[in-house]
Amino acid sequence: MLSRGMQALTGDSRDEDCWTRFISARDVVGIKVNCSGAPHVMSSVELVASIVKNLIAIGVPSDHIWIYERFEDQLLSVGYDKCVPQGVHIWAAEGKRRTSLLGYDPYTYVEVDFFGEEDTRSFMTRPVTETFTKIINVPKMKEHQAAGVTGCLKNIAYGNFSNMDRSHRFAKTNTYSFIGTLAAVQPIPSRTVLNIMDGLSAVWHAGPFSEFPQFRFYPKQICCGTDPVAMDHLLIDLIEAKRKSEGAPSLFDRSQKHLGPDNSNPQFNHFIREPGHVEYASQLGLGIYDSDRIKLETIEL
Amino acid sequence: MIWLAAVILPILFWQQGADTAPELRKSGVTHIAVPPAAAADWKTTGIVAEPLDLASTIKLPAPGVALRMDEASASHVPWVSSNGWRFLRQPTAKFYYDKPSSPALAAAEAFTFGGQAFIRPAADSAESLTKMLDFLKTINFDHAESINDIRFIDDRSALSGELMNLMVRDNLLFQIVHSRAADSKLTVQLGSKEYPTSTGSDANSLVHRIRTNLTDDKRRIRVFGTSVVIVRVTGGVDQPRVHLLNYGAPAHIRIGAFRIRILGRYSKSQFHCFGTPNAQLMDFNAQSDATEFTVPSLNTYAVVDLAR
Repeated sequence: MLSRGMQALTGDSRDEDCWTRFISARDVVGIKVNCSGAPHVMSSVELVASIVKNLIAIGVPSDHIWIYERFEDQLLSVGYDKCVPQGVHIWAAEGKRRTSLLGYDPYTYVEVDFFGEEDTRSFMTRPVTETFTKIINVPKMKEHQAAGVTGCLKNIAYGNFSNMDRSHRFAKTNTYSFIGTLAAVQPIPSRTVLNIMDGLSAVWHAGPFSEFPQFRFYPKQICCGTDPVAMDHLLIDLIEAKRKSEGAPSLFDRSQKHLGPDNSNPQFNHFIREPGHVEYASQLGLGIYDSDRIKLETIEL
Repeated sequence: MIWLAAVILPILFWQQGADTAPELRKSGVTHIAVPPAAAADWKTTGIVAEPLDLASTIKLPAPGVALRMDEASASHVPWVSSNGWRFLRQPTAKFYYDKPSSPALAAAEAFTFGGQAFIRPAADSAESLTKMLDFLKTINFDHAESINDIRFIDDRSALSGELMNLMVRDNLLFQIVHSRAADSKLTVQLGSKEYPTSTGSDANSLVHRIRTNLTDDKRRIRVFGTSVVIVRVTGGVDQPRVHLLNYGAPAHIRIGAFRIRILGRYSKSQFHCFGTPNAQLMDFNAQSDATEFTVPSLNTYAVVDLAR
């Protein structure tokens, strides 16, 4: 599946040729996984292991490959280490108690005051600025209670900065502009050369976590691309269609009547979702939102 | 006017008999407070025992945090219970902590805010108090002047007290004054047009207004990466001392790395961290208008001495 996707994306017939379009043997590669829905819905071990295998095949040393995430407890619960060669780093920015900035670069941050909070900085993860020369973004296809969806943009934005949950403290969140703002901070956009979105399984409500089995579904697809905005637009369409088929309100619904504490009921949500963050990101130059300008090739296997 | 007080160490309040003197001496304790009726018993023990009538003291709640895990919140910011504002409001009063969950934090809190405090520890935490008192003796405490951004006119009202409480919790550095001064960054007087006390003016919104009027750029000090550390700055602008108190200590929250920004360019630093004698500051960066550094961890209390 990954091989066919990469071949379609690049036009090359050999896997090595596909991967060397993005990565060289001298690169230090960060693979940004998404584990907030672990252990049920996360960047799958099989997909991540396949990416690592392809990197090693083109000459990237195993110790130049980092599988990383913000929170250690979520990352370690998946068990990537069991399926990748020795030497591959499994790294998290914060431990279980989430009380340290050591995993973040003190010189690279976004400073903003949303609601009078005292801690107004969000620092970028340290390896992104100090170690990686390339990043492969491997998000999961999920609805997000605050952002609407959590795909390429949110995984590379919120997944690379500290002190993020403050952006969605209240029902009206700040995710609309914050996700794109963070995703546009260098070196993230220049080093993120490839997005491989995992839709083998997915979440259509109460994301990004996956505590309710009834909200999991299985698109059985992966999406390879270079444009995080275009890919997230496709994700919106996919989640929106699933929600419609389940009789749930649209991601774009902003009605107060659908706000409520019980999000085990798909009619209710804790927040007003902001799927418009994807189109907003296009205005920051992060990609193309216009469906007519997105080049999409679908391969059935 | 600059807040000034003689810095004194907190004192162990001890109700056990004079026969425990050897035990105290073994722990390095040379000065205690005892009930007045027992003072005479201690005269020949080699330990200074000053009589203390608890009725003459103000009893303080234990410093710490309320984690509020049962309340829905995406921010996970706990409520910090600090007595800093009480010390500032009554600088000549005597205060008393009765078996605080962290007597070490209580001692450091009183020391930081210049309060005269007596502490009765629970039996199983006396050692942590004596260790903190030993630590406080080792750091030079000659300079007790505080460095502040805000002049606050305390009208002694409950609202005024709550305002000071919130300013301490938010690391808004203030001193209590009796009048306005032309040279201050900001003077706050409740009941003024800018800070009305009419209905609807709650302490939270007033503190937010104070912060907005001061602006974050002009704040002497900022803390990033933790919401349970309270700071205070003493000394002079050429050689400030930054006090760092971890209010998560009673909940056994050992704070990992967090970042400090202080106005002014300082090239030299010394870090004194209780319980971690060899700790070093990290990512020290002296810019033209401000200095930033990372504190690698904080158990209960630490000071950072800076110099140009």
